[in-house]
Amino acid sequence: MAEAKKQIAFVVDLNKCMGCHTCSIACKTLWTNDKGMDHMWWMKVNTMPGRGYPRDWETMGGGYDGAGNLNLGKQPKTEDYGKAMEFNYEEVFFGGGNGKRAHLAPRESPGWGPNWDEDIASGEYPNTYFFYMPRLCNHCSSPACAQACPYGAIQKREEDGVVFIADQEKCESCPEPLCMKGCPYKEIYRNPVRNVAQKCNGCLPRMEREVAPACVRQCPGRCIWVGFLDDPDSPVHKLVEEWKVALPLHSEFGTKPNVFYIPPLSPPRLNNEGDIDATQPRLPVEYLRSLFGPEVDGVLSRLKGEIEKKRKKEESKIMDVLIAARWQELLGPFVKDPSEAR
Amino acid sequence: MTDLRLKLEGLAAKEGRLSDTPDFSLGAVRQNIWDWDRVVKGSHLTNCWYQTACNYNIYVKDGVVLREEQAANYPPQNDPLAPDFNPRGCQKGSCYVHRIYDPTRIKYPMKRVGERGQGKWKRISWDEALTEVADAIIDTATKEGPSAIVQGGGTRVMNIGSEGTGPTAFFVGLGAPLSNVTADNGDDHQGVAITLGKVIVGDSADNWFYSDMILIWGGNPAYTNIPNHHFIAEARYNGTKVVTISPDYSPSAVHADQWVPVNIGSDAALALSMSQVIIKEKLFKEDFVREQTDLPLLVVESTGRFLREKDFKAGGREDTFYFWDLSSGKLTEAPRKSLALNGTIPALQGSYKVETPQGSVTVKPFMEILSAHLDRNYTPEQAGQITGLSSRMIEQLAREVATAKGVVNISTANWGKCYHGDLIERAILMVFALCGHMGRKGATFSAFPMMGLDTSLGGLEKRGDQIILSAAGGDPRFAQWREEGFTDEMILYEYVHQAFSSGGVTPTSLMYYIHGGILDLCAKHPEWDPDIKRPIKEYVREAFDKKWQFLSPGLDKEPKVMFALGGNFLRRARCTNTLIETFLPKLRLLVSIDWRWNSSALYADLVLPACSWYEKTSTFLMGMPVQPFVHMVNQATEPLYDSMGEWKMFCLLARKVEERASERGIPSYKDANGVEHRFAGLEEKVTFGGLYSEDDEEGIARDAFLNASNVEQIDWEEFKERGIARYTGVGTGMRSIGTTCDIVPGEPVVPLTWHTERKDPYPTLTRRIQFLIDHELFRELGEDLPVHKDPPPAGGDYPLKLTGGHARWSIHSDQVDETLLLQLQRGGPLMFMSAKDALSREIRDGDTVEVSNDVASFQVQAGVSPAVRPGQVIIYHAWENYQFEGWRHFKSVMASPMNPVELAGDYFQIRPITMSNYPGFSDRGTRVEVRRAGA
Amino acid sequence: METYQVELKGAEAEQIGCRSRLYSLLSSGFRFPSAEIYEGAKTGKFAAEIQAVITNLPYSGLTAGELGRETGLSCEEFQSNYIGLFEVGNNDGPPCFLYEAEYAGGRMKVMEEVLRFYHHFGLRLSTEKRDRPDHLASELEFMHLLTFKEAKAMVDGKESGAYLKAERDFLRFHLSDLLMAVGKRVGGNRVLFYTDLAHLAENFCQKELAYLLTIGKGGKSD
Repeated sequence: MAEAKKQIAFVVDLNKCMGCHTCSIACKTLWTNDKGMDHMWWMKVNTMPGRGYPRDWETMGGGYDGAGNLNLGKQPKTEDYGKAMEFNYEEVFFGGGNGKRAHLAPRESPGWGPNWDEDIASGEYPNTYFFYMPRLCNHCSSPACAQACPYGAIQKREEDGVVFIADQEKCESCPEPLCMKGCPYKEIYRNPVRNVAQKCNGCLPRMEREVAPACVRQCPGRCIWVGFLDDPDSPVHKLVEEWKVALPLHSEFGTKPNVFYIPPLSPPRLNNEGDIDATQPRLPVEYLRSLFGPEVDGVLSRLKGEIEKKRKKEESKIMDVLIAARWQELLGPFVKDPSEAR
Repeated sequence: MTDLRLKLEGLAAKEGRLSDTPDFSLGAVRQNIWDWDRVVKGSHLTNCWYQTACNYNIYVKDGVVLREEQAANYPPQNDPLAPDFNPRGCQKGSCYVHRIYDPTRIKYPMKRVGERGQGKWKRISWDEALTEVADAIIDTATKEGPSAIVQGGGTRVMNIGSEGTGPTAFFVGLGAPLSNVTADNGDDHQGVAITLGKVIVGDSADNWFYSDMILIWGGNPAYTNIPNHHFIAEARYNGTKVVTISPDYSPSAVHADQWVPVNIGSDAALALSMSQVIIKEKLFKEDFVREQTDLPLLVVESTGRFLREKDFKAGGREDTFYFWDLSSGKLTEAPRKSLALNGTIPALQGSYKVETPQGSVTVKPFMEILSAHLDRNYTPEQAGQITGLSSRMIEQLAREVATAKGVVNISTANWGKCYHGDLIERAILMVFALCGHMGRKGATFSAFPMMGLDTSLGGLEKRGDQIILSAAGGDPRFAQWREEGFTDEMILYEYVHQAFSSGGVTPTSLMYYIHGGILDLCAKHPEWDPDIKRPIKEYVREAFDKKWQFLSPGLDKEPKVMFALGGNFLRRARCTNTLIETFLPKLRLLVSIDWRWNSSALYADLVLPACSWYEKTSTFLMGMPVQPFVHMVNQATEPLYDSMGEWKMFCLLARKVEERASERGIPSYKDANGVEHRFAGLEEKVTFGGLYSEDDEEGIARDAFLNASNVEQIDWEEFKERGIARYTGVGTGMRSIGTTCDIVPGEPVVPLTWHTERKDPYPTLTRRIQFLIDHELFRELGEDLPVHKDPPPAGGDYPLKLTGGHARWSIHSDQVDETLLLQLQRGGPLMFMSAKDALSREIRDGDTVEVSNDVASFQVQAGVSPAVRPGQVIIYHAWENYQFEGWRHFKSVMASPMNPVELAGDYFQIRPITMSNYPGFSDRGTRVEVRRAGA
Repeated sequence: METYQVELKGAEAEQIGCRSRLYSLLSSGFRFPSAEIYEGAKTGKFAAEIQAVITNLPYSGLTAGELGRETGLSCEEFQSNYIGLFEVGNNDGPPCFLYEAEYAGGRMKVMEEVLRFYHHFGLRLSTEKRDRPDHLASELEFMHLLTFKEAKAMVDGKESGAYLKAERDFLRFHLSDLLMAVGKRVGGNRVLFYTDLAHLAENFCQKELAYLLTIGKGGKSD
């Protein structure tokens, strides 16, 4: 596969995300609100630790082994997404004369969903913990989905590194979606109505018009940056390459993901007397390491140090970038208003 | 050979002409998402309070709204380092277009043909529907009087946009009461009203950025402040310490620097104990306390009441108070027209003798009494027992708050929902007042934020300055008010109070208590508040006898026609099923007006389809200091189906009432005061003498904006183009004058500076921030001094305490049954419970559980999370009745006993006014038991 | 708007004309019943009209059956049955909505796509109706237009491939799904006229789709 000349990248700040899912809805309403796409949430926010979406995706496999060989993992089953929720509005509002007072509920019990474990914490009260993590396609530099596709239907664009389904026809004739087994993040989906694989397209039609992806532009928490990793002026570059405070998720999967996370801080634990116990963080370090690698320790102390500087009214470039006083700073080169970019 | 003719009915050729279409490709059609006819600015005419409102671009194609996306065109603040307000918005606003076209939309006027709530409907025409409503209005106005025509009003239409003008004008024209629903929501701030004399006090979100500490106390901004939340995160990165005080590890604790896990309803004890530490360690700001609060006012030791002029002479004033001036060493009358001390130094400590006709009495500065009270009852060790916190944490927190340069609070609509929420607010306010964290940039206390358009519309909407001007010209009380140093703010509150006492505005919570069976239930269960001294009905009778409280149509007169309008009272009210069983049978006609089916509509006799928020033009009359911009909605498309805007609907209804009255030969009716009203001319009253035609909804929106005194001056077309304009002041109107500060565009809104800097008196009896309430009822109930009281066992003696909060997923019930949003939840109601309580009841995550107490029971899915405090269960609100099995609504268990202290009146700041000082519903801490359904 | 008509020259054109007429008749049948439709149903005129076009379709196996058996109903009762069945529910149960998106998980995209189909062929929604684009009657009406244009193109000796492709794709991705869902809901012993009409429409569209796929004039799908 050709190397991208420029690589688009996202930085997601987990200290800003409040779990509101505006990104999920922005994406859903723009891209996946069609027949056969009920289970598709190219962008979603999961409560972490949690089983996520699709359920238990972190254990399904895929990506590459240490030697760089493709691993085919599991393909998520219907129940890992949960059954599509169809509701009985007409029975509720117009019960008619049959004497039944139906209540509004999914016609079939869904069993799971894109945000099923919302706000379900881990740990033990009062030292309980959780945080919100938005997830989208990583537009990997070594995309395992593309590697797995025997037909070459999935490609990585040279001009921006977006991983997309380039050949619908080849995709449609595929008997077994190996792409889904290849992707360790399970960010590629199958549309059973159109019989094709579908995935986050990086909001290409927007980016081509210099408009930021919907999830980025619509995020009221201002927690997602987009930009070219290779552009030294871009906040994305600074956070990932220069200051190294944004880390990839499960880099051990070997796909070289291009979504990076500012790891989450958390309030201190309490000891048995109910006093602050500063000896260990509320969010277990081992857990964060399992997501973001051993570098996470250093990043968290760096973040704390930078906040401390601000407390002392000293300068902190990292904090200034993370504060992003002007919202446009998050959008990289994609600053156009979509209504004016037809 | 035959001819084939093209017959089009639902479709039409564009520009009246059809031409050949030589090519077609499905792929091209599908990819053609970047194609629309026009984009207009708009927003969502719902009341999301702290979040109101967000400027959106609405994309329209061939008369269909395709999607919306934030406009994100808020201009930056002046400080280049301060975050701007972009992009605003949330997940609900970003899919409102789905609601327009979804199955919950009411398409046509509907008439009930079965029993109420049975779901048997007949589609009728607008003419038939309006005739039915008009006849019921005529019957009721003539038989029971116009006060029996009431609104189960909501927070939406009446307050939010200019489209609420129609119904308001109609009710006023008819002489029927307007409704005040704040305490029925539980959004009231009784403790703030008592202490500051007002509830409308709020800062802007960029103000948080300048604070040293944010106290998230009584709120969950991660859910309820979605467009504003980034300011918290950015402030934290700027060095501000974020502290979240809540029983559960709430979504707003996740990003805090410290979480303070308090027992449910114990917050007053925490705040009082912090106050104790602050006073004891002399960390309070003496100057602020001396000048701004009642703490230096002298209290008679033997009575516990303030020393007043009438203690010195017969006929002396009730509202002249004294302090001991340390500079002159003399008893000194506290200034009333200004807070300025003019060189005097009021004593905060000591004991003094003053001579009165009754002899020598001992008086002490209230601070002296307060500090003894706190030392006696609220040391950190004592408070630790109540709050479940370590005494060290209380002390540390107190010191940090006191030594911080500036602290702000984020406290949303929680305390009004606690039985003793007033006590909690009084105590929290004490912490802020002691530390002087008020009226400074980055140091503010916010209560009920609201930024109203101060505007005039025909005869209905008046600017505050117009009210003051006409009072100056025509109200005999005016000269006296000015003589006594009333500020404009105080004079406006006089008129608001008058609206209550004259029956022009009625508190719906009181109506449901009295006519909805909730008071009866409460009277049957005196054990729900063991602290109460007399039967609750005796308190109620006393409050009405003494004219402390008012209700239209009255204690013994039942409402007959109810408009469920701009809200959804059968979903909102507590004790839901009690209300349904008791209140509904009293009604001759229940009309529901909404764009969507909701619980109130399902029980209604007539359901009238309002158009959606994108189908009418409206200017937001209510905004927020949190983001000081006025918003508007451009009509994006024609009203769908048979729906119409509220303005037109009420113009047509007024016309129909006149028409039917004339046909039936009924010219007039009498109101409760015996004044005769004529039906003829009603339409003229509603349209302000024909100033706006029924189709001129935009004219109202336009004039509301153009006539406003407190927004930047741009023309209407420019405003429509931008969708937003900056507020330039709080204005002179009731909707925001309480914030009492100047607004400099581009600078943060810092409330109360007219008091802290300009030294304007507070609208309280003492003209100061007042912590001692020496009202007889407060004294009887032991609440004259700020105290903590345990939440009573409302609902019975059960082990678990039900709490809740505004939801992440819906503004009230407006999006609560939205398909996309339900998919991001579990498809229906969820109750969080602690891992410990679930384990002991053999309940697993996802189980259906039965929740019950003495009042009712319901079923719900359990979400088991260790974030929940053991002993607590949480249901975030706004689920519709019909989302529960058998329509057994979760609010049915909320006994909501009446707190008699909320009946108090006739004490300057404690009189019913809009949004406060009348009994409201409470639900936090309702006692329940939970078991696995079927177990 | 000017009237459009085409003289159907030749048997093939006649057949297309009949397909188009049937779409139009079905579309009228699913709109709120006017007095004319009621009369047509009652007197059997409506069934006869349908029967007349059915006989000249390029495929067999359809019948107008006993459309109009509710002759005992008054016009008002007939209309109230329509409302009960499709809008507010009746004694047999809740209503069977006639909007495609209500049966599709992805509502807005369904509506939007239908709208874009209309737009592509120079149509917009009638402003008098203030209805959604995905109402069954409008979708049937759209097929009426496409087949009308197909007939006209053929008579005029022009290329009709675009219409055939659109007919096939619109049926396949929209109208068939809607009719299948409606067919399921109106099943049972409800309002017989509409049960029959829905089943007729469903069968017709299935045959249409099969026919269009067989003749293959639409070319490969996108």
